[in-house]
Amino acid sequence: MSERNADDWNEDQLREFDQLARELEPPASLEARTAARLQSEGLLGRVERRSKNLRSAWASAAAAAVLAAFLGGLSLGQHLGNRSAVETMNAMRSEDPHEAAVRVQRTGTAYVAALAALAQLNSERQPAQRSSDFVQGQEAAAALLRAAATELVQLDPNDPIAVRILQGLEDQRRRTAAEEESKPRRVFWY
Amino acid sequence: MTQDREWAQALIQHGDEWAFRQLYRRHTPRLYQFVLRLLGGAEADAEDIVQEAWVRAVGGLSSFQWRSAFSTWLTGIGLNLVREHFKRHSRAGRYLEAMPDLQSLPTPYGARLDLERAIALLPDGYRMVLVLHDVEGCTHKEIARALGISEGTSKSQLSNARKLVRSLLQGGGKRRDYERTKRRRLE
Repeated sequence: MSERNADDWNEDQLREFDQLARELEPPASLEARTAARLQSEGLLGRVERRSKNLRSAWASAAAAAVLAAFLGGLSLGQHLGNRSAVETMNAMRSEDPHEAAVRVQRTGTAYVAALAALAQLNSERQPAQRSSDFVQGQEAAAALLRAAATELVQLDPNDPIAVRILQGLEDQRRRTAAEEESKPRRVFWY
Repeated sequence: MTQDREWAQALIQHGDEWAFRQLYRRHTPRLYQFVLRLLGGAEADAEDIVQEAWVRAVGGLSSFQWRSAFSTWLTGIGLNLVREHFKRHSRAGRYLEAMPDLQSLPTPYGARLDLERAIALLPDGYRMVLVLHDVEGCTHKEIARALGISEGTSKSQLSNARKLVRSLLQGGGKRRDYERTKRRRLE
């Protein structure tokens, strides 16, 4: 104790100061509230939030999977998307939130992987082989891929496939934008 | 401390909730008691400040250099938040110089009080200095730095705080001491 002056406090009073509690358990609810606040600020994992938003997240992921599988027409994506969506529906009916959460995750991940395969397949073709329909289809697939991956990231910010796909798409967008910028611009005078 | 550091690392790298809860459970009772005492027993405000302290601590954890103990750093954050709280709720932010009217003290003056209650009844500025010095063992230099005041101010605040605590502890007939102290400060 640094500058405590014995003239100011007598022995009994000093003892009283020393006996003051240094610790006090706060209300138990404070821990949960603090953890929830940290989660809402993005400073903690989002485990609780994921299960809370399960139904809406499931609906979005399943809808994105079915719609994109239909539009893409890729048999692998269709197969994986449909199979997982059915499993998810079954899990939701059985009212097991944990199982349903796992299904949602699996549905989204499988679907995004399938679309990624499509995009990869397309990008491996030679430019000369690309018709205008092909390019449009590729753009549509990329848009779907972005939507599905965004949905998945909201569901699970740490999903590695979705995060990589979003990063890849963003890089591609930047490259395209940079190429557009570097092209000489024509100016028409009237 | 090593364990604190491991948990902090897990928290920084993975947002690990389990690690946060370990840190929270180890350090919050100390922080809560400290903040509650500085606030004179205002429980709701103490809870808000403890929560905010953790938000700031976790948010700034990656910049914490570990030159002091985690608990010391966390307590410092709590102290700053209490200061901000007092500044917001006092007239012109001059809580450190304020002397209250005795009538505003919630317990009838003259009744004998225990030490904790007497500390709680002190004006905010007095209470902060007395708690930091006589309970936490800080030096006037440390207090001056923490509160942004001079060492002289810290000493005089402590002296006045002790007089008032003694008056409150001894009960009846000590009102004159308090009034004399207050008059001297206003001159």
